[in-house]
Amino acid sequence: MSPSHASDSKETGLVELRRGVLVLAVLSQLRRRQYGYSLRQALAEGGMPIEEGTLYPLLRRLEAQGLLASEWDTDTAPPRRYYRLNATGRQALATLADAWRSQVAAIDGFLGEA
Amino acid sequence: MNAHDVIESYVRDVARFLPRDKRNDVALELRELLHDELAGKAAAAGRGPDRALAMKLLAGFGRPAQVASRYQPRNPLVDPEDNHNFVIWAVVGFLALAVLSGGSKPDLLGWLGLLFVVFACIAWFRRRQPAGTFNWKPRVQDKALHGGRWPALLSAAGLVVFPLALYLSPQGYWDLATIGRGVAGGLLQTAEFLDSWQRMATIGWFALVIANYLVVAVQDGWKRWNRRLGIVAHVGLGLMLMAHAVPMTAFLALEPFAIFIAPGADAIARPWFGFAGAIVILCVLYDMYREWVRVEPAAAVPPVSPGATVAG
Repeated sequence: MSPSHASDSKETGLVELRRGVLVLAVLSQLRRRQYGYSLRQALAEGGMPIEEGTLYPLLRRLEAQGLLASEWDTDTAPPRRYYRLNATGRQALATLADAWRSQVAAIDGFLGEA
Repeated sequence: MNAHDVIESYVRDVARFLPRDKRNDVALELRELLHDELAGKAAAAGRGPDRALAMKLLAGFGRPAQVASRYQPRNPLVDPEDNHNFVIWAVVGFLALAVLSGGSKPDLLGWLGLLFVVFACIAWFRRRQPAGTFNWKPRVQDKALHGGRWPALLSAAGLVVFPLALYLSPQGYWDLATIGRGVAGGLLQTAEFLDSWQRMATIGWFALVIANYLVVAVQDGWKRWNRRLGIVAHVGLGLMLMAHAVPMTAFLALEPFAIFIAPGADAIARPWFGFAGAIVILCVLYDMYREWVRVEPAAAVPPVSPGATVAG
């Protein structure tokens, strides 16, 4: 395996890993009202930078899945579309958070054996 | 064109890929988000938002069609998992059309278009069925492509009795079949044909096919080289039979010769040669496909424990 190929594989692995937890990270940050750019800033400041081209459509998809509520705030300039968890989203977040913790425990166990 | 115009152009291009009911709403949000992003990048770079910065931002965002598909994922017209079968059918269709077109130009693009429509309809139909409708189901193991000793022997004998004997002496075959009551001399062959390389080559391919069957009969089974030799021999035979359908010439000669002395017999027989050759080629294409997808080594027969019974 060439060094560049190994590097590509490593990069792909990191992207896949991040993609897997993206929804959980987004839901966790939408317990309070956010608009797209502020959410991206919050995630980046928390150590999880996400490409804008990925994040913004994701918000729409989560809303279409019934996990988020959104509204336009026209009192601000410029007007912004704000998102936050609804009741279904809060349940989904709790479920995903439990699953995440059990996954972390399992992976920690595997890594401890390595 | 300034940064604002660049973003407007981009938003318009994204929006035109979106469904009408989402278009304005997504465009409005995307426009504001892009301006936020641009302002953020400009502040980080310590300069005002300009065209170059906007172009860099949008390059990272992706092509408008990609962005639109993230907002509104679309089903592919042909499912990606069907790519393999699509290519197989395309190649087989091309070859079949080339063989069956009989010298006229085959409509390859038409075939590709038809295939695309069929696969798109399959994908559309499949998506509308309840989940699990098309789940995989186990099936009994495919029949062996070729049998063992007796089928091979029967095939060899059959080839000798019918096509080879008919090819070697059509008049004699006709006389035998009609008990001498048929048209006398109606299927006599021309001297040029009897001495032709085409006839020798065809007989040679026939002999190779028959010899291969006999070897299989002796060893009571097909080995890999038998299967592959059979494919080569059938391809050669099919092509030579098809060559009988077009005007035949001797080496380095331009003047074509007839197969049969009687012009009527020649005119009737030539298309049938072509048809027989095409059938052989189509069958061997299937054999080639089976050979290509063959899993080797084959699964070993699971051992049966001494105490096992039919009832288990």
